[in-house]
Amino acid sequence: MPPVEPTGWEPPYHAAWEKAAWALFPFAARAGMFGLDEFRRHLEKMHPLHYLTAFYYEHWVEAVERIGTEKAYWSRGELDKRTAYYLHYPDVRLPPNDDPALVDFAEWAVKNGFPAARDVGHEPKFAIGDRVVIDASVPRHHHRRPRYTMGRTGEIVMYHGAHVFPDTTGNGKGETAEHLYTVRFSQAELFGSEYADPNACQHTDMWEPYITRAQS
Amino acid sequence: MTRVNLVHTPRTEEEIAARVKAIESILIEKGLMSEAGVDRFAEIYEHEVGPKLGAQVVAKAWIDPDFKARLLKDATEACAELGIGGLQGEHMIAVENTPAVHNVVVCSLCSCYPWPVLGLPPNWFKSMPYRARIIREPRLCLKEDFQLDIPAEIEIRVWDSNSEIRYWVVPQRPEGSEGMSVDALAGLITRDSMIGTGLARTA
Repeated sequence: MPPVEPTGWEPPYHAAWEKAAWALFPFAARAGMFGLDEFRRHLEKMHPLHYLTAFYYEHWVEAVERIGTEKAYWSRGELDKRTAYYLHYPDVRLPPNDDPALVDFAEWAVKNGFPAARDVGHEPKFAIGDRVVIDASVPRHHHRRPRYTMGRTGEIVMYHGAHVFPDTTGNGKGETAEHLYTVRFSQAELFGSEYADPNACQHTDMWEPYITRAQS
Repeated sequence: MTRVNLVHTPRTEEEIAARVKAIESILIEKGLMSEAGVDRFAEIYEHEVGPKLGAQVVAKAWIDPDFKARLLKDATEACAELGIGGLQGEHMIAVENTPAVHNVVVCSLCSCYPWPVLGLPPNWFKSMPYRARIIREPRLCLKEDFQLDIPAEIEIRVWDSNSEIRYWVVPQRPEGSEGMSVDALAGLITRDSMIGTGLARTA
């Protein structure tokens, strides 16, 4: 695998456009354009070569661009026209908007966030210590089961109450919630004992529909 | 003959900047966004929210066992005692390094990171090599990429932030730091030590 090449320090934003690209997310979410899981689903629609080679915040721009076009916040033609204009005149100022509510929103959102915990009307099926198997099916829709866990057996080590469920919420099916657990896997279970670190383990969060009880 | 297009032409940075400005201008005209709002968001994470906040929390945990117990039980609640919390830290869990266990954090699916205590993530945290390698070969990744040699007898626990739970690490307090003030201790606690790709600095 390629080296990580970490940096000791780097600025939060590498260029001015990254600030606005990043803030597109909270403002578009505030406007009701999408929720977090729907945003992630659209990130995943990028061409893999583009995804892998893009600037990080370019992913966010792509997702907002796709959703805004799909939901008619703008037409592709209008967006292309304006893009060409700003490409030609990069120093032209943006239109004014002095609404103080938008600045207040920044303060409010950073301080409060958007909790994903929900109440559901049924008890969790599983308990800490249970051995479970992760669903290995490969749906076409957005989900949050990392590939390395599929079909693998692990042990529930934490329970977090019910959280918003990405498989419905992110796929235009309305918000639902499911019980959420943390599952611990040995490296040997994930990668085979011959190829695994014998003294390392992996923890991955799993919503209840992702798991079934392991046969002992 | 079938034409196969295998060439991918990425946008230039100037093209992306223009695209961002185009989207921004439409949202501004619709009353949904403003330059002042963008500036405020950007500024908060440039100057107010960053790893210094996480360092304060860890330093307090090092000197106050009751606080440490509360932090390890419910990091969201414990951080709220210090006025720390919010966006991307709505559900935080702090995991403690010990002489027997070393923890390290990743988001294998995208870029999830505990903003209230660490600020916005560096690009390497969001990169494909880190996301793949820390899961597949954590000990080797720490050793080769971060010059952090974790002996084979110490268990490595990797935490994937694939849900809205934000994991972060309470590093071990270094020897020789007895009697230091909270502020001095906080100076030993680096961003990487709270991701688990580094250790706290020695006193």
